[in-house]
Amino acid sequence: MSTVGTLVFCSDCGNLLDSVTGTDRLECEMCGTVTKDPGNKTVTTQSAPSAFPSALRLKKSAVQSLATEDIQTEAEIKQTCPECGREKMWFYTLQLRSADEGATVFYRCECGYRFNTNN
Amino acid sequence: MATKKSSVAFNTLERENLFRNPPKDKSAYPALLAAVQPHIDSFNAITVDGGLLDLAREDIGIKSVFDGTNEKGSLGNKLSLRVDKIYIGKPRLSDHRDKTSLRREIFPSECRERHITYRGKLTVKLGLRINDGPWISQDRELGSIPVMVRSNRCHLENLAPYDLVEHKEESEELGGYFIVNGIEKLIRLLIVARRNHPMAIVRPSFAGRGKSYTQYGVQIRCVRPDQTSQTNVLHYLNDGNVTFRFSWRKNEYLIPVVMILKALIETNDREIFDGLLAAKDRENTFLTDRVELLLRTYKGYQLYTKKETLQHLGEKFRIVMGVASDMSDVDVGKEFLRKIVLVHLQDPRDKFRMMLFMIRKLYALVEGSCTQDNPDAVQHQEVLLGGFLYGMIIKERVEEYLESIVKEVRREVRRTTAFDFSNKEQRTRIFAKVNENIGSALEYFMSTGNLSSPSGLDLQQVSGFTVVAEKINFYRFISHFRMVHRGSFFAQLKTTTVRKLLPESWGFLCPVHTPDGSPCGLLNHLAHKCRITTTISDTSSIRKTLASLGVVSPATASLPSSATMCIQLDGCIIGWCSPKLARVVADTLRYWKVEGSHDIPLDLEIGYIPESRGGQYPGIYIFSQQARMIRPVKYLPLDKEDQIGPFEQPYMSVAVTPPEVVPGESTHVEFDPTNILSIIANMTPFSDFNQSPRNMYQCQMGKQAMGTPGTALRHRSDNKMYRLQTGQTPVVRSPLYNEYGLDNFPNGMNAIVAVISYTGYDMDDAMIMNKSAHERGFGHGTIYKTEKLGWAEEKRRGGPSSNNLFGFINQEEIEEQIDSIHEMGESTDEEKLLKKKAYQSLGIKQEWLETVDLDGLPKIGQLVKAGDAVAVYHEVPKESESRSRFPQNKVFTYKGSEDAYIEEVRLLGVEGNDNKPMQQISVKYRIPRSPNIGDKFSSRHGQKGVLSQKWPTVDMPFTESGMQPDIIINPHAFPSRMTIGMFVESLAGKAGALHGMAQDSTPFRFDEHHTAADYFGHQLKMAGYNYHGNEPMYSGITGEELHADIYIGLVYYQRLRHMVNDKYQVRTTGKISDLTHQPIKGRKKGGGIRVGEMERDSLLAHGTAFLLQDRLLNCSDYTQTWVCRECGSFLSTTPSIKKIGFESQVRCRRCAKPAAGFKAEGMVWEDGNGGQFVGGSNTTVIAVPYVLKYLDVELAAMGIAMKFNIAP
Repeated sequence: MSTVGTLVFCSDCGNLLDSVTGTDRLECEMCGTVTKDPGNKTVTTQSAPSAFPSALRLKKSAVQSLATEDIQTEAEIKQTCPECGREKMWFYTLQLRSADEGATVFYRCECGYRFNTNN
Repeated sequence: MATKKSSVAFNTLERENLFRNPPKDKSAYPALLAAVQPHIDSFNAITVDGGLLDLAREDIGIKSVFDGTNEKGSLGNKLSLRVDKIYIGKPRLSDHRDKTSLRREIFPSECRERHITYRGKLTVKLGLRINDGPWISQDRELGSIPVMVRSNRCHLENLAPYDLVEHKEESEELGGYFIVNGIEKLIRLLIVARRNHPMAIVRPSFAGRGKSYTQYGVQIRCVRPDQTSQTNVLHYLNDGNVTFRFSWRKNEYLIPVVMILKALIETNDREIFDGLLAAKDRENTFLTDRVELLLRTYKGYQLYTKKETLQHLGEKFRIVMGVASDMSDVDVGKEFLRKIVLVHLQDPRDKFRMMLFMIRKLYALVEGSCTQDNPDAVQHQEVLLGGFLYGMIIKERVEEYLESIVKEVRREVRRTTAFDFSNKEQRTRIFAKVNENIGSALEYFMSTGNLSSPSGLDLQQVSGFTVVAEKINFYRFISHFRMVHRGSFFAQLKTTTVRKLLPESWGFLCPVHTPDGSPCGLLNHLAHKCRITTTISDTSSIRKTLASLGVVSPATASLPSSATMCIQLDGCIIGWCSPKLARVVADTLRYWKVEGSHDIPLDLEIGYIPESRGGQYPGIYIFSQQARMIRPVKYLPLDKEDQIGPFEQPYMSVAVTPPEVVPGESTHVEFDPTNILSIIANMTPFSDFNQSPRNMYQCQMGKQAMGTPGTALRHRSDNKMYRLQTGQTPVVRSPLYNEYGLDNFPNGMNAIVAVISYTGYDMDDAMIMNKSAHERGFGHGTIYKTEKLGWAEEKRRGGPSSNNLFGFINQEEIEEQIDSIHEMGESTDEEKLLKKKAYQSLGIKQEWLETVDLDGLPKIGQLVKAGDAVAVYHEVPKESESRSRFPQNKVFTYKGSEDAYIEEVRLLGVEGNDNKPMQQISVKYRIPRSPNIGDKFSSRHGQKGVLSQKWPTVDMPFTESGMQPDIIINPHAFPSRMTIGMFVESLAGKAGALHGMAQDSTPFRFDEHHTAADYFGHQLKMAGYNYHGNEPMYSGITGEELHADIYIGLVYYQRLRHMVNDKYQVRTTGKISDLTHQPIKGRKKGGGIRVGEMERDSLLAHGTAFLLQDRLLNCSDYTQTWVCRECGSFLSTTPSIKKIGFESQVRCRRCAKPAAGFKAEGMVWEDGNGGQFVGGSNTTVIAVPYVLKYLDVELAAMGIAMKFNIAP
């Protein structure tokens, strides 16, 4: 067999033959052997299920993916915003300095005001 | 491995006996030797018969050059060069020196003491051939290269402790390092990519390589048998094409991958297609489309046969490869494939198969059916051993040497028409012109750590390959050999991903032992049970064994369609099987491997990666070569030891403790959970009770402790050495302490520690020391400093050499008269003057003779202070000079600020010349350092603190039994740091001291049901003490009982090397900078500490304006200067010439007008140039910082004038 899908190989030397020549004769440019063009073949291409994700199906799935910005990493704390006076703020901590020092606390207010403290 | 299990017992008698009678057969501490074994073995591997240098020699091959003297157009005679043998000799005295000596070996201790390099001669047997004549051999000496201590090129190889002591070494001398200029240096272990395994990589920078390049690639680091490597990368292009990338001599090249495939073997498109796509893949149009495109685009090259392709490659790479001019293009193409493409394989057919596998993996990565491999995980890493790197450098240098001969011959041929190879004299002239000193290149590498290489050796860095093996204490010394660096390239990366501790490192790299700060996570230490392979295991029977298991060989014509799992041995495809069979094959191999049957070596790594949805690319990857990390675990089915590597570990189920074994799932169990920790991390007692960063800190501080660097201190001359005089063995320790023989190198002292806030001097991590403890010698230490005095040796023969000599020029004269002069009285001023004159007449000073002997060298045991003479020297008088112009006696002085004792004096002969008089001496000073207020101490739990007071014993608190603590620390040191291990150590130490026994502090021995507090509490109770370790205490000042019971126990304390005496910096006035008149910086120069912007800010915020002015102006560059009140300029003021009857005044030159006509006597003033002026007298003196004047000058130079408004 010298045909795999749309590929036609020279039956003699295994060289890949041109796909379209206009005639039904495919001549190998290497050894000159003439192979008959098997003609049009149907090729079915299947895309992976993940290629075109359906938003609807995704909702039903047991696995839900979240965008990084949607992940709630902040917690609420009783802290008055110095800018607008709201009594609760969001905060998260990061260990920015040496491990034997305290974490840096980043506060965020609904009004958009942000500040951080080291302790 | 370990013959008997070590206990924690003190074994005092045994140790004492070992110390007095070092064993004459083998070391008592094999574990210590095993710790440095990878270093030594890797060095040995390069020199043994058939070793790396022999393999390298074969790889270098033949270099040839033509003389082109024949008729026009012809190349002429061919001179071929090859290396027949590379020898490295043991360090010996040169034949030209000291001809009467019978013992000509040079031992390491001599090199250390003389500050020279421990090196052996490098000799290359060069093979020469003219045309097709016979090979002529010629030995060429290429200098001396540094040699590793205790390697097979060292005189200390395999010596027993007794013999080591005889040769002035430690009884447990480990070796593994080089001695370069008297300094012990070792080649760092480096992490590199795992060899011979194609890694799927997604790296955004790949996309920047060119148009249509994507981020996908498959990379393989191929290692030749001689351990040199060549990295090959396949890049995926947007259209589905694949290009092959490599770098050669620091340049990068890209080739279509099909060209490589067609050049390797005689093949056709059909075979490539079939080789890439298995039966089931042909339904996958993603793959078939890409393969079709791959094949079709290549058609444009019109290269069909192997020969055509090779010719094409050869033509393009002829210049790059630098081959002989008589080589055909096809041969150049073959040489290209041999030297660059998948160099770990020899057979082109194997290379072809591997290349197909890599393309297939690349497509799988792009398609998403396999995930990327993480190059930062130890799974895909191995360790570049020092010896191998050393061998690589030697190989490259030797190859370079051959090439330089070729180059020189070419130059000679061009220059002189009648150059003749057969003429021996002309050949010798060539050799004379070529740089034959490979030895100095390697010495440069060892002493600087810089790699100067034309190829870059496939490494990502050019510097930082070597480090000094500092002997601050033994912990630090030993950890140098266990240290693995990720590469200095990664230190610059902003991302922290490379620094992360990954679960794959379990058991291979210690999770605790890494420094904090910039090298964190890049500088790791090997777990103490992890070793590194240095030899290839015997895999000759693997193929046969696999065949018996039903694995299909790739050589068979047709693979069954189910055989989709690839089996590779060191990057060579050796079989295919079905996924189902793969599991059986992997399990069976492992069983046989542990069993020891079927000739499967125990240290073989069998990485079975099962099929998964989008996981790692499946297959069985077997590794048998060098540089792999490997560690022992127990194999459950056979209850025997198995050696596992980091590639296979993620796919194995290894239980940590026997109770954790999951039946039917776990195949292995750890021998001990502490196996994952490094040697140093294992020395932290009860580390499982501590907060994790504290254990990291202890790993750092243990290495900074003033301890015992060694026992052969008399035979060392390190620049600076710390020694603890009163070291003790810890009461609380783990069995590994004995296994590694650390009692030979005590690192601290057992101290009675009370946790109490007493007097307030223990605030903020300060500690109070019992003055009597200090007087009993607690923490007493010594610093040894070695200084070389004299004149540098001449660089080149014939260069200027010094004409100085040690000693008094008039030694005999002095010897005659000195006693009488000494006896002269000095009761009156007159007598004193007379005596001084007597000394002067001898050309010496009286005080010199207090510290210097009559031979001009320092007196041993003499106390010297700053400025004291340590050695006398003089110039050699020239014969023509008269007695009156005789050179004088001069002295070298002691420059240290601290009082020191002369410990040892070494006279260093001139290297390479016996007849020259001594030009250098080495003086070792001893500086006693008893604990001082401000010195740093630490327990073994990352609890460091400074000594704040030496408190009198009578005022220290005492317990009911009259015990008084040696050290008091503040309870506030604990809540936030959570070093519970220190409490447990205190408890255990106390119980141990009371019962007279050592306590086992191995982590992970206690649990919730069997707590440490109960275990040691019970022991305390048995001794009649409080169960919890608390005791009532009484104030040493009032004698009243303290309100609370005090936690008091025994903790091992380390004295750290940071001492106030090396750090204090004070200044009132002193040196200033010439330019700015501000105080200079630098402690050594007596400079100040900068009051910077932040300090200034805080002084401002405090409102302490006067203090600020004092710091920034009065104590800095306060200057008084003249300024013109009118025009406000500093620069235009000038003093007038003083005239009789008038004071000199400072006038403003700019505001003055030239004196014209007649003016009153007092009106006219004169400047220095004779100009006469009137006016400009409105000047005054103001106080400004000197830099302001300097700024004015700088601005004036740019044409900018500064004007100051002066008021009032």
